[in-house]
Amino acid sequence: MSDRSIPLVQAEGLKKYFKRTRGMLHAVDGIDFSIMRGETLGVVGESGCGKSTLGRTVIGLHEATGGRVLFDGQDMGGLSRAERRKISTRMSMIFQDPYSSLNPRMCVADLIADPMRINHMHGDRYGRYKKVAELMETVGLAQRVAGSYPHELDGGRRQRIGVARALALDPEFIVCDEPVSALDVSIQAQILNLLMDLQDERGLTYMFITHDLSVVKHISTNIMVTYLGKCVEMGSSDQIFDDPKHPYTKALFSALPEPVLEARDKQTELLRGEVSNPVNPPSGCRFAGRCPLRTDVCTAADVPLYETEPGHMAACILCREDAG
Amino acid sequence: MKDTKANAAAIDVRDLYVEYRTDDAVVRAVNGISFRLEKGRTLGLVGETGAGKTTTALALMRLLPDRVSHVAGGEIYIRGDDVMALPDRTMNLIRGEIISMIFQDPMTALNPIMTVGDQIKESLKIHNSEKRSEREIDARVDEVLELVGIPAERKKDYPLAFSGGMKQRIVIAIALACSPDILIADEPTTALDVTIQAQVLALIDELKQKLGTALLMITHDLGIVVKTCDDVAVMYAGQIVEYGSVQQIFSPGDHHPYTEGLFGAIPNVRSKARRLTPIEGLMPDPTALPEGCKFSPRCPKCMEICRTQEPAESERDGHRLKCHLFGGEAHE
Repeated sequence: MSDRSIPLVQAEGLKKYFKRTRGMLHAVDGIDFSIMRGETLGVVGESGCGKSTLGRTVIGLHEATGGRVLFDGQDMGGLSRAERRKISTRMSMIFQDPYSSLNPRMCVADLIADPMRINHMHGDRYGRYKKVAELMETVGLAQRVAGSYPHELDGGRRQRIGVARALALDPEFIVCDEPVSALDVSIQAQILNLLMDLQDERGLTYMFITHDLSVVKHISTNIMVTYLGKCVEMGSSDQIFDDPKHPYTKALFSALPEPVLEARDKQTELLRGEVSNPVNPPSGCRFAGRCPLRTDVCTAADVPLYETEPGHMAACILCREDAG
Repeated sequence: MKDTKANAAAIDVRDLYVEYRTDDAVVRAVNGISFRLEKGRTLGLVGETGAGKTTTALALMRLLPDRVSHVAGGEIYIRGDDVMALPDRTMNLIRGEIISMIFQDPMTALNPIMTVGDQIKESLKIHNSEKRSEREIDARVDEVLELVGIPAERKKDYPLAFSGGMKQRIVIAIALACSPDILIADEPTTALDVTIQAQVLALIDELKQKLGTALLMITHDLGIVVKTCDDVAVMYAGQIVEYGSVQQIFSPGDHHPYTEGLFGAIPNVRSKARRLTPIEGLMPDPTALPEGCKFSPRCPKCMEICRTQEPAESERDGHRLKCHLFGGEAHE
């Protein structure tokens, strides 16, 4: 059995660039993290900052441009095809949009059985459909919808199919890519609770990608805030929420509309300008263009992560003194 | 009874019903809603997918697809004019000039093969009641682009050259080009990131102050409601289940169980609790709405009477509730 003292998933200097006509698009640009078994890493950032690419690169849906991913201590890059296929059954992904990530021509039972069929698991058809029935029960889908097609179901039920598919191979690690952002608030809470229950029951490890800070708070052990392919802040959930360090993290909190009357009079600190272009980005802090606290030093050279307290790191030169 | 034009509300909706017809079913999307929006005020229409928010907005604009849908009852007045009785030509002039709409998805609301300048110009040309010359129209295009914070020289660019936040600002610029008195914003920021959302909301607010526009804000986000609205209507299954000022809705006290459920289901950054409290069950099927109170199958406080009898509306200090818990007399 695998070693519990080492992280289940670890990324070192992970990079993923895409070729564009005008240069290289730096979607993921040197990211390090590790996730221990049974824990959840929340990845927060705005759209287009490379969150989904990071998730896809970690489970091997994209080939990394640089750096490496270690799964249970094994370097994913150095594996043969067969080994890789074997290890990839131990991880899976829940996709953002339950409307476009399910084949509209397959019924619910077939959709859930599909990963097992492809990987020749759970025996024959009969064995697989027994497992499908179990999975439907686990994720709270009534057996009577087994023969329904995705278009007949609402978003909440469709996302439950997505969760059931992700669980089909009994994985240890699941990348959840904005699993609730396409859903209504009352349904969001149902799915988030389901994911947390599954984690408690099965000891699952999650990487939870979202743009919504309030969602990530409830589910994460640690949080990584990303901006244009780089990690700008990392820490435990409490550290990030009680004492955000990076100006971008602070701006995210300030912009978050809170449903309380006091928020009416609170002045939101507005960021000026737009997100800069990730194609051939300039050196220095990527957030400098929108940062209210920008100095000349910010754009001169890349800013490393400074550790301001144990486990809490921020990539801002203002944190350099704190780090000592 | 019709208000005189001078003191007429910007929008006055009375007992509105809207239905969609399919081959084998009638979808009751809006079921008897009434509200007023005064000049210079902001009303929030809050609710989840399928609550009838967008249908209400389309009915106000008279943009319902007429092959499949129709207003089945009630009246709509825009500045005292009966919208349903107006001839098409008059409605075409009112739409855009008096009342205009910011659509939900900036990615699809713009024409990809027309420059953004031409798209703004299009509405100015149709609604040229001030008889602007070509040059004056061009000047106005520059002006509205600057107003929403986009450099005027970018008017020759196509939508693909803009980011999501900028596209939404262009959609706003088109809606504002003719300085409408009434603006309907249908989830104007759902497709945007939080920091960009804050910028767009600040922009809408600034323009509202400057132009004295009446704003109907359609959203599912209670955080946006508290920041932008004066009054709130909470919609469920095509009905307004609770209506009141922002203070009334967001203060503790008597609330519709659905409103309470909505507040409970939002992940709160301040709470330390790990689990969330969802509203159990799903939105009812609009082709087969439940008997009695539409929320009763999901309501934690459901009583016997709720399943059989539709609750009447009770009112106190302008705070309206449609629930048997507060039935009969004015609720205490």
